[in-house]
Amino acid sequence: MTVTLTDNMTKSGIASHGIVKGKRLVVTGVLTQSSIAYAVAQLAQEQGAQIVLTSPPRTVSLTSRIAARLPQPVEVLALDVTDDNDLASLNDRVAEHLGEVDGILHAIGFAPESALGGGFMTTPWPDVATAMHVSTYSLVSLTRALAPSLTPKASVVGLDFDATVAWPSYDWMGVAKAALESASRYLAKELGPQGVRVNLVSAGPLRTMAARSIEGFNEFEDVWDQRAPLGWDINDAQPTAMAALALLSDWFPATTGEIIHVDGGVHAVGA
Amino acid sequence: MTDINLTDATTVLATLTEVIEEIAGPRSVAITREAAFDADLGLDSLTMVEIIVVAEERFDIKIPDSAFVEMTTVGEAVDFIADSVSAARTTA
Repeated sequence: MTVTLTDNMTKSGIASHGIVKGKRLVVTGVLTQSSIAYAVAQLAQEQGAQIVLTSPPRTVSLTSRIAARLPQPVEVLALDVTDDNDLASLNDRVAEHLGEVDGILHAIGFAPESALGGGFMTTPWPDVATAMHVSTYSLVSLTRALAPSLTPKASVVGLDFDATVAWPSYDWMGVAKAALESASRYLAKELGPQGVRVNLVSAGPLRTMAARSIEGFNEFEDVWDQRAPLGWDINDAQPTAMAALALLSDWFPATTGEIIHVDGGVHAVGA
Repeated sequence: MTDINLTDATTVLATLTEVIEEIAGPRSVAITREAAFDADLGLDSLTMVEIIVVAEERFDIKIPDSAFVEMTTVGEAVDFIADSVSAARTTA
């Protein structure tokens, strides 16, 4: 079969409707091509957005190599969300490339080894604190850092994994995600009067590098295989990226403090 | 890629050695087929990901995450790369 590429066909296979045309977006969390943030960055560019990426200093070089695979060249800014100096200089560094900011993708999470994989009862506080600092508090600190550049009607989107129940192995990252859900609501409440929306996408399990670092991740996969009414492809970040892009677009103008489930429907069924 | 010997395991090892040292700096132990990435060469997972990303570009192949996480020694990576390069040639 011969496939003819038409003008609006894209690398992701999603037609370019330009739903984020002209939007200036800050995208965190691109590490590899399997990163959810990579799918968001690719789709964002295909749909007409201008983006910059941020990456922890340790992985700027890796992120830059991966960024070179995106449809258009993109700047990668170093950002350790636990470093106050990085946060303090972020707004100026972003403004240099984007001017103002219409949207932020928060795709940042980290937990030390002791906080994941079954040692829930023995994780020491400093490791829990690190997990919360990087994975939860950063939603607020990142948004605050970019506040001077946020346009009216800007949109902040974070990535979540259903934190209403306890999962095998997910441990303190699950607690951090529960806190992220709450922090997102508070942020929505704080920023609503300025017109800024804050929402989360609660995705089903995806085989990213972050997921691979969770021992026992395959137990999640089984749940989705058995329960998702729509089915679920653990290798396809596209549905999650599409939802994130929709939230970053103007098409959810009255939605904030919300958690959109992109999980094949698992959250809605009991068994 | 014009190097006609690229699929040769020895050539792959030489190129992969270059990539490892380019990304991680010179290693204190020899990069042999038997060397384990973490225990012998002291490469953490993020460094490994970067090495794999550069290797993909150097050899013009795709190394899926699922294959990468199975590789514990240099030899396993060399064999995977040599097979992939060879397969790409055959289907080209």
